[in-house]
Amino acid sequence: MPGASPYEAVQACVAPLQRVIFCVSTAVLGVGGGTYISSAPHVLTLANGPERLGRTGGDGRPEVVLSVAQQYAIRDDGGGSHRVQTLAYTCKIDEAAEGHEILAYHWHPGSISPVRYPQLHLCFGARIGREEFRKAHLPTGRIALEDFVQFLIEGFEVRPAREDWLEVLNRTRQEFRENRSWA
Amino acid sequence: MATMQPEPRAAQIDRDSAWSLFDAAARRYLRMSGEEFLKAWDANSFSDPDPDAHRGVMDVAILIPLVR
Repeated sequence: MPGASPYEAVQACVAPLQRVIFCVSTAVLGVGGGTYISSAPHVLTLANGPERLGRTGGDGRPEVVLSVAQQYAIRDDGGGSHRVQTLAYTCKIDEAAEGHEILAYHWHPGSISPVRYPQLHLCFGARIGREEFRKAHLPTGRIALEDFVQFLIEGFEVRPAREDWLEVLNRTRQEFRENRSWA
Repeated sequence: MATMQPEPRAAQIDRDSAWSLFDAAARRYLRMSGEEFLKAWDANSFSDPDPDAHRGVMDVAILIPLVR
């Protein structure tokens, strides 16, 4: 999402992501001073750290913990337009009670990891059991936060924080597809 | 009359909060302090053979720019 200044570009990027988070939580996304052009990446993450999410089906269902983080850069598109480019992301859920990771989506092509493609980790909390999964990087496409949150609601029965969550996700997903810099 | 909802804005994470977030992530995912993580990261302690194979390393590493 372009902006007239680096600051506006960051806000234009964060606004739809925040609406997505608000579909399951009141958690707020924050940046650590990252509203200027820099050769070093900036970070966007939940400003108060990982967030516990309730699940449908009664109060007895164990909560899960959501973590989201992105590294990004701000690009000058010329003509007074600036854009945020995602450089890496992690989004994951853990068991709230034991802290075991359940699953994590990672993409960090610029890191020292030899794994350059977007990947899914199925962790101890997923209770898969097979040894091969312990260190496996299951290839995925780039994961939009909208898709992850919809999966949490539909697949993991996370309790939505608003009734029109699907409408919100579809709207922000469309904005995301129109503005992303990759196919 | 319908009212326009203001667009949500990104919160600013100040230096102290950034360090707290980073340190908490290192303790949560790797059972070490943020300072210990940075020392290990700088010493390439997680790079053999793949830091991503050490559960939680990349979840902390992605936050490094918050504190550097």
